[in-house]
Amino acid sequence: MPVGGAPPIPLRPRRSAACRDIRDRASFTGMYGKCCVRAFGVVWLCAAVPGACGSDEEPAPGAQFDDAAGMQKAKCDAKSPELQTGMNGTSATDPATQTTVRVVSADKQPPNKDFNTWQISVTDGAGEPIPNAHIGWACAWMSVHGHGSTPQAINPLGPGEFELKNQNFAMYGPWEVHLWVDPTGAGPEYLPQNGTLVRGGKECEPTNGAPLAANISINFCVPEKIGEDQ
Amino acid sequence: MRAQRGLGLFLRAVGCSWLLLSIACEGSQEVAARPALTREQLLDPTQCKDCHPKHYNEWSASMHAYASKDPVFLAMNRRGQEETGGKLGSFCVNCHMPMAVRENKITDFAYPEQVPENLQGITCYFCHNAISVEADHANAKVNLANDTTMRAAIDRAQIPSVHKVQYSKNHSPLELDSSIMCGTCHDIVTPAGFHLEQTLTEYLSSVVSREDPLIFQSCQSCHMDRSETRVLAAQSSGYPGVPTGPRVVHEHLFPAVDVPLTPFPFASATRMAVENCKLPGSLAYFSIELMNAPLPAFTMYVETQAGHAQPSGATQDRRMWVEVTGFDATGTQVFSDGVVADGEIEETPGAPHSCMMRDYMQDAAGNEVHMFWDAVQKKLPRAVIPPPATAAAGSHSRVCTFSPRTTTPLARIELTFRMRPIGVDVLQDLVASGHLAPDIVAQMPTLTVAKRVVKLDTTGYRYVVESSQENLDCTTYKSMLDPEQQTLVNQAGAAAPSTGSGR
Repeated sequence: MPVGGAPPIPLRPRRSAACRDIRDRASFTGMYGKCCVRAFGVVWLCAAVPGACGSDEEPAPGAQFDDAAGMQKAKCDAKSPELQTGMNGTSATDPATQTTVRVVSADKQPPNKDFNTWQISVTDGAGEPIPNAHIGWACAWMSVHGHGSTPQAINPLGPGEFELKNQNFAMYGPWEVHLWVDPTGAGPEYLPQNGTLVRGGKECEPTNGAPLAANISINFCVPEKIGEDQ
Repeated sequence: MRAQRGLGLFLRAVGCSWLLLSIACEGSQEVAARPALTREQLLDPTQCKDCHPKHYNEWSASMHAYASKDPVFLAMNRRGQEETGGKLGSFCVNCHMPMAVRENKITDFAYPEQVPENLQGITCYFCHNAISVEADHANAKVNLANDTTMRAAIDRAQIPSVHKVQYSKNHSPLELDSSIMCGTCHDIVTPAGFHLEQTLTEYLSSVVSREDPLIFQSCQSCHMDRSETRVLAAQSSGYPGVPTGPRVVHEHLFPAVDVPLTPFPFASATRMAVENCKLPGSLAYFSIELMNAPLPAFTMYVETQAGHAQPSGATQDRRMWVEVTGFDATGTQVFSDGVVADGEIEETPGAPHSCMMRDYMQDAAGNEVHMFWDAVQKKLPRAVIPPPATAAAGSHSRVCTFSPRTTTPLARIELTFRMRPIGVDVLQDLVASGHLAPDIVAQMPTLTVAKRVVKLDTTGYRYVVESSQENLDCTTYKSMLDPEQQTLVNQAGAAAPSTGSGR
């Protein structure tokens, strides 16, 4: 499971400054004469030093760093699944009951700062849907800042399927979605909240009588910068 | 063998040269690169539109573009010039139209609206030509290079022919320097020493400005959203000279709380950005805690997820408050508190609102004043929601207590969080002095930040929210500002609130 809090990622290998400078200028100098002269230069350099401008150290097409100097300041691990392929499939399991919550679909890929809506499934240890599952409370929390909120609504979609509507990931960085899941549906009926509401000053504490601690948490990161979402 | 290898390398190089030349120079032979813009041309934001249409749309709708056209600014500046005998000088326009000041185009500080259009507001050139900030940074102490290089957060930028480009830490959302630069105009001290706006000070006191990558957020992090997909940072219509690759770009609308009060481009998009996205996104904490019987009293916590106080900026002018209405089990309203009617003054001296978030100014005699040039610096208690000083939960909350004068048990409470960018009392003061047109008062919107219907259970100590009536939407306004999507949005008849329509 992706967990925010990974150490800052290192800079990707980069070409030498001289080569980079030559390449950039050669491609985008507007004047015909200069362009030709520099194009010759690039070719001669590449011919004389095979690999100097090779593709191994090139950024992927369309993946140039907007802020290479800031790559050391990444909030998120660029290799984490939610940044590579999005939130779909991200899951977390309650070890006590083997109940698993999986993100079936997310409207923002990767998760984006502001309101994000997820469809989730609740399955048992064999991966089968749990039709009686009940979600008593949900809360998105940013522990590094000490703030968070509940989704605007928890809507049941079908047996073991729910929508977490408009979860507010208010800032870039590591987040946790805490879920209070009753897989049996036999526990006390806690009416789910239908609005953004967290007891003042207390981390995600339910106000509807549900137990204080969540049993399932999905950790992920909302990327701010180029490089994190490549 | 060696000679053969040398010949092979030579032929390979010549071949490569010819091939690359054919590719690199083909376009240049047919269409010349776009001519370089002069500094004079770069001063004009409309020159940026051709290559940066999305950025231009966003900026043209922004409060940065509106800063010198805002009727409240014009009224307050003119009154300030009159009441100080001109001593106010360039104090206001330093930030509201900085390039006009630097180009010496303001002949009368009391009437800055006469400045040429290309120097109105906070222009592209002012921000993107900035190279440093004075140590005493407040009041627009930004140094410009005054050249034809535009600075931004893009490292290894591709070099266009129209202007030079340079990476700048002052523009990177990952660097504290960028927030410091924003703070030059978002942290203001008056000539009399009154700390009129202290957004940067609040930010620097908060946990979010800590230079730990996991924690750090810049002003841009929240007010210049990054694009969800990679797009062209520049388009070169008619010229082939700037074949930029797709990048993550940043929005230039800078939504916060202000909206245009007079006809202005994309006004409905700006209001949506403020009312449906930025404000409800920043005020997600909004809870109540019931107190002991016999009275059905309760406290209401409101917490901010912003990296500064809320409200922030000109907090003596801003008004943010909570309206509460209580109902019994039969649905009968048994009390209300804090409800402010359309056009009504939100709070008057001697009659404090139950849950008002704002700051106050006083003159030397201790009287509340509306105009900042009358204010003296005093350590008055702040009534704003404080910024998060630490990561500890609850360090950024404001508590309001409501004590309904009824013994009837409450079954339902409606909480409505409202805001006006400028208080009606301030506006009426400007109208009374003859500096503001009366119809502007009606154009000041009452923004609904959040509305919750809370159902209490029979114990009176647990509750659930029956409904959350915010229209949360951070997508539609972006589409309305996107040149490529405008047509689609218009065809779909996207409903958007009109600016100045009150509630």
